[in-house]
Amino acid sequence: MAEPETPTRPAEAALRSPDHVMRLSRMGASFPTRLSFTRSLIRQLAREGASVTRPVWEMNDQGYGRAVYAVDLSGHTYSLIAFSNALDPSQRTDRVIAEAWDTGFALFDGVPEKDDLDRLQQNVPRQEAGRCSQRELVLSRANKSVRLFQHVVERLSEGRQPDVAMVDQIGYLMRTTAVYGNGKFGIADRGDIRDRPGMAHPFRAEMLTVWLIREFTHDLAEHVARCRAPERAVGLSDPIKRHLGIGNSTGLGMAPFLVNHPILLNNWMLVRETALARVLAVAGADDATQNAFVTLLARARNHLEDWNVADERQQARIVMLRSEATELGAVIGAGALRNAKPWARLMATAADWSEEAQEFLVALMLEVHGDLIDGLTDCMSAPPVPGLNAAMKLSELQALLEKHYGWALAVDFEQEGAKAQFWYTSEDKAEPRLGLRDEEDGADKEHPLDIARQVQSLSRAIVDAGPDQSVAEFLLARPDQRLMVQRAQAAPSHPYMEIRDNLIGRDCLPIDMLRCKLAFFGATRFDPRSDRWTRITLFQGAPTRHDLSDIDWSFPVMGA
Amino acid sequence: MNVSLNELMGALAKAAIGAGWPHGPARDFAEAAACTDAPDWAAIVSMLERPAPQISGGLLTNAPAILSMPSAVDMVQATGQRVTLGGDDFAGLAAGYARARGHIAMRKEADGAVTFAPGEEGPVRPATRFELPDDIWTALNRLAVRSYVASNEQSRISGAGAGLLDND
Repeated sequence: MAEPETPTRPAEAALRSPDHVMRLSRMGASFPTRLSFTRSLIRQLAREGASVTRPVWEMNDQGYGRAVYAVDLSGHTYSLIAFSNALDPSQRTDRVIAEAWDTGFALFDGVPEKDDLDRLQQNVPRQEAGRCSQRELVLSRANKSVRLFQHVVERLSEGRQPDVAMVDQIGYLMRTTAVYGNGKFGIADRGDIRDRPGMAHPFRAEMLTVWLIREFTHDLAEHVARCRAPERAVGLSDPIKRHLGIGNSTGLGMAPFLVNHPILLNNWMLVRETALARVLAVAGADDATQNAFVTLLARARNHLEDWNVADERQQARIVMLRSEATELGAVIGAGALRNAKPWARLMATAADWSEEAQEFLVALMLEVHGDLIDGLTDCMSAPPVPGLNAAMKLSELQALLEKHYGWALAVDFEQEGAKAQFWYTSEDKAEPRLGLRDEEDGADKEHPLDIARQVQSLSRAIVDAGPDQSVAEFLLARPDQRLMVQRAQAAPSHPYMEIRDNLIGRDCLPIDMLRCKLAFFGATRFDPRSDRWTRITLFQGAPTRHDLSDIDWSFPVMGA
Repeated sequence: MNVSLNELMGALAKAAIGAGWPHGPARDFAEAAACTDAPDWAAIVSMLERPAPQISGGLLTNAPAILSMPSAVDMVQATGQRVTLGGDDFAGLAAGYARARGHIAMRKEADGAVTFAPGEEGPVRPATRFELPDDIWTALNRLAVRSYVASNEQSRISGAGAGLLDND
């Protein structure tokens, strides 16, 4: 009798070193991949043949009112509840300090009754000032892209499609300015849903919410147009619908998240790097894979041509990337994919290119290897943070610091600018902000994002205490070191948990952290508005509820 | 007030930090409180409002519970020996520290002291929902605000790196 077949683990090349991967500049060159959360959500919805219904649509002619969208995912029904209101332009800000929005949303666990809608109508439009319940899984809001929303409504009401160039330039009808999950403002804790089928992936409920909000924005524009000209109005064409994603405005809150969730960050990075290692180990590319890559590269180059931003630093990087993508095309055209170990060779070829080009190439290579890597997305959530090892000797802890935090111990904090910035929470609606230590008050309330400085402080304290003490004895005298001790003890088993740069230095650009996190979400059209604020687009090119399928929608291009 | 686990732990940790305690003990405190059965919230909040000792090296003596309890649990874990803490009557919270860490048992003594000892049960996953009196929630937020930095026109404009209106 034959032995049961044991699943074999795919071959893997060496992982890229954390010293290489976990630098701010490289994190700030991240691209979304097929491992990103938007992509894995759409794959799951398509695999399950999910259908979306709209059981409630109570909107007046101006598009103010409420609506419900329901979808089944892995045996549970989830409903987006949308509220649309008139908003005075003087109140339309994407900042956390806003107090009113064009729209408010909740993702409801199940299908809401009228009482639920009435209750939420009193609370969801008020966002942080309202109160939700355990039946709500996500709380969000969005503001209109005033220019595009008005244009689309006008055109549709005239029986015409919107201007394609304008659709392409802006890319969304509304942008979310917050998507709250995990218990915020009374909604359900992540612990309530993390063990459910279909909800184990990080930010799954949040991404489902955003995808449904995108559906709502399409419907709302069409509704207002129809109300304006019932006889003449038309709906959005399918290609334009697909190209209209949902925008998002994001600020500094994302940066502390990465530092404060080191195990999660490690797991995201480790999955991506493992996926890359699998691809780099592939012995040869068959014809279908070669053709898929060539087609994808062509589309991605078109995508790059359409990606223009006002930020000079990013625009210069895009221009450079276009040139390097052309070079990549030439390398492929010369037959590079017919070589043995083609992907590893391509990466070697890209070694002299910009980090932006290297990470672009990573995204392309992962895209054509779904069968090899998609299963890894099941490993991106985080188990509970490992507990403190109180028995560890300080000699061992010091050795651990030297092995895993050499990058931190090497920072010279006496150098000018090395401590220039500090992270804090403003009393202004608890908005996360970044201050200049020598110019602003508040450094005494600094958040502990200064990992490198904390490592040095811990190392000095260990020297003072002596190598033979246990961690328990040490923390009895130095409770101020507890946070860093526990963090450091997790480092050996989580190689990608630390951003290996000085996060309070003058040169630290929070935008790099934002881009990294947003790339894992699946964000495209990264559009920095400063070194600490960006707009992006989610689900651009993704299937809508009307044509849900598992297609490659990476690097979206209008009409492709 | 009905609050989520994440909300509760965030409020407790921020309150502890606002009250002047270090970040590490503040987070452990929040976790322990969430793992406490039938918590006496008023007692827990009052614990935060005690003045934090200066921490500049050397052994802490008469350390307040927010510092002594995690250290007691550490010592049991490191040595396998019992540790008894006298003084403050925070047995409920002490049980929370033991349950949050795992493999630690806690017993309340007749004189009000608590004894930690090696135990069998692993770390406990706390409930995800809590009923909290409104005045406790208010007290926690009042303490948490102390960890926030006052806003001014400059920080409002430059601190977040974004403009104030988005009507485009």
